[in-house]
Amino acid sequence: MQKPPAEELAKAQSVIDALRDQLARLFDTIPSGPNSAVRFEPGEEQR
Amino acid sequence: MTIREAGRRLRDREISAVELVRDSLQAVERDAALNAFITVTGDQALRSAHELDQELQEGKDRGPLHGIPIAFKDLYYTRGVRSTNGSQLFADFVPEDDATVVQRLQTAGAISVGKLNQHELAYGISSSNPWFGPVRNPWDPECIPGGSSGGSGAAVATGSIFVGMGSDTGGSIRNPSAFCGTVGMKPTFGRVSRCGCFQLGLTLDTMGPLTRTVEDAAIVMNAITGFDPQDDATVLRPEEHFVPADNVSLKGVRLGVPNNFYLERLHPDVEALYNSAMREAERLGAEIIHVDVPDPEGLNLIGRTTLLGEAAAVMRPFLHRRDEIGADVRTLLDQGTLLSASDYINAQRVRRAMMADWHAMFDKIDVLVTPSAPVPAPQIGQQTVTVGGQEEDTRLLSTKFVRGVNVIGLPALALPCGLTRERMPAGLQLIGSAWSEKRLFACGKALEQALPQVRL
Repeated sequence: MQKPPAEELAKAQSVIDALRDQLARLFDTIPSGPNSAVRFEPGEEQR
Repeated sequence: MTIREAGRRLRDREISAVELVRDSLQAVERDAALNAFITVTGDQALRSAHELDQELQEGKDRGPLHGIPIAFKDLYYTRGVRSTNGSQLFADFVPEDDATVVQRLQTAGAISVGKLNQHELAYGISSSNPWFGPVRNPWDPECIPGGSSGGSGAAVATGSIFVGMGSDTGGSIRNPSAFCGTVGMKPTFGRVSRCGCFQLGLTLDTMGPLTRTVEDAAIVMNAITGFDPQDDATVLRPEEHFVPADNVSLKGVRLGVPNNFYLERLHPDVEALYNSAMREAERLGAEIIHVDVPDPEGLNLIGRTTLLGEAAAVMRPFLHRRDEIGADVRTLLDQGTLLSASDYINAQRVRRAMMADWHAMFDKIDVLVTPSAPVPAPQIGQQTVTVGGQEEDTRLLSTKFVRGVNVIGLPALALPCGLTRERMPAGLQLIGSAWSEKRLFACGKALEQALPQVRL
């Protein structure tokens, strides 16, 4: 696979790092119980 | 002219499907500078129109869409007609089959006059396509039409087609509706088949119409919804009729007005038009309920994270062809490849909790009403917009109020609510609980009848 040029990669990495910082407050709220199981499709629980 | 008016004239022999298609093709040519179309299928459309006129003469009536000119965003597969997804990667792709939605609209008698321009790979909101040229906003050609269904918004707003079929992964139907002054329906996830459409966000993508009136959008939804064995997100549900009655009312409907997020830092004219619309809704008998909306900012973060990961996964086979992907989309795909599996999975865990909070909100209200976008359409090439003294990224600002809805999978109807002092459209977004499209159309129609008409 063709890798992105280093400069573009560094720029993308900085955006992801900033996103991760913002996500941290949300990830801290994840409940530990069984209700936190991963379900990917938002339609599932609407059926 | 609305679909209902065109249908009456067709059945009264005042006009033919051939004439409707000719008018449409002339309008497409007249508005060519807007660059709303990638491919025009005039000959094919005229052949279909002849056949459909013949059918009506023989007494075969396919219903309200019989003989109505429409067009598809270029991410819908159309048999024998190239379907590019606005991308150089698929510039020569000619599908062997139609998308399910295309099949259903053909069966209903609609006539496609071509394929609509869009943001490259449906991944962005400017619709300034690097391969097929920028789509221009018919209200001001120096402005973007929104996106990613930008060609759909522009062509519907000018009246060249009755329906522009679009797709919405993070606002891509509702954003061009807001910027072009059209109606746009983003259905509940699983309501409309995605089979035969290019994918972007596997758990976010929805297909729906952009039209000039609420009733027109409802007519299209009657034709395209329902279970499709080829799309495992669709579900078997009782058939519904979405078109609202003419005397529809807002009396007793609980409209939620957000206490947080959605009314902060708006363009002053957008704010004034929103407030005016809500006063009108109250005058029409709606019960206005002020609600705290569960963490919309967090929801947008989850939406961004989900889409970054899913789009990078979908486009993985093509990532080595970097030169054939425009700079802005390439940047987003690069970001997606750097996201970790644990980031994506934890985002889905938060998403589950947020869904529960949002569903609980709809115990208190029937419909949440927000502006569709905080600002009117920005200029082509404008990277940032300053609103309320804060400079923000144009894409993130434009999708600020619409992106989260896809995370929860809820239906949302965008409709115009007036023009700013610079004569640019502003819009409302009506968000409902899962499968509540019928209620959204009813509320939308009641508001549409009371709000200022937005027509070019």
